[in-house]
Amino acid sequence: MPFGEVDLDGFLCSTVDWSPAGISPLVVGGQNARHVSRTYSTSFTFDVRVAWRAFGIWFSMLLSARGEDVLRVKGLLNIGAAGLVLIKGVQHVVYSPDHLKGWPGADHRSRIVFITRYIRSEELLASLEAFRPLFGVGPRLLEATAPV
Amino acid sequence: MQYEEFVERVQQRSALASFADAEEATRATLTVLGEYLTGGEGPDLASQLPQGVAEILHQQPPERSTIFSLNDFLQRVGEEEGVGTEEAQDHARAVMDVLEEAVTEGEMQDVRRQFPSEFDPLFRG
Repeated sequence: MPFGEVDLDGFLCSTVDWSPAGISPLVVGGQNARHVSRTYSTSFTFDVRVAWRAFGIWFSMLLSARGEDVLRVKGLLNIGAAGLVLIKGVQHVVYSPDHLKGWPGADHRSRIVFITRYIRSEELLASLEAFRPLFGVGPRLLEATAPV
Repeated sequence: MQYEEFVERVQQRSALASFADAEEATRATLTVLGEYLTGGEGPDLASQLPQGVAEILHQQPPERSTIFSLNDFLQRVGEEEGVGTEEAQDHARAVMDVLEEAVTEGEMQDVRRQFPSEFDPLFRG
């Protein structure tokens, strides 16, 4: 795909049924086997700098399509020479990104955690992968909620 | 589990001097927990808790949550309770411990999943 073009079908995961009914329930606990879990935690990194504007577009599209199900997000993004950006939000409420001057530690990789409802880790990562041509890098999963 | 038993267990685990102090620690932690949880999880959790405790989680959460880190959470508990952050952590941990005993495993898993791993000190192993 030429640089600058986005596979919107891939981003929106048209092959995936986004409706809660289309996602098989995550059943938790032996004594509580009928409890259906719906909350997923996904943290990931980008090993090199990420294009901030492209990430912003992806994030805006995600919130526009599924904001109610993005329960919470927090992350530090390495945007290269421009430094790092702190993002945080709860559902549709996203705070103005903070452009920070220095890293809190020696690890300068981006680190982002999403707490979502009905949006599985693999779906979130697939959506990010669709933006790889614009980001300049793909996501790498650090930690995800494991079915119990 | 009834209200008195809930608070007594909090008192035992946190070594608070009185039942009233344990009530205050319970109120403070559950108020902040209610501010943190989203997506209807607060009312879900409340539905499994005894009267007196459940009402705290039914309070309307703020429109803009300000809690994004463990430190934010503990500072808010400390503000609510009028104690320092270290003491707030002991009390919050005790309340979370008792909460885990009071609700089903699945419900507690749903609550836990809303907290990134940096919040692990609030929970049992």
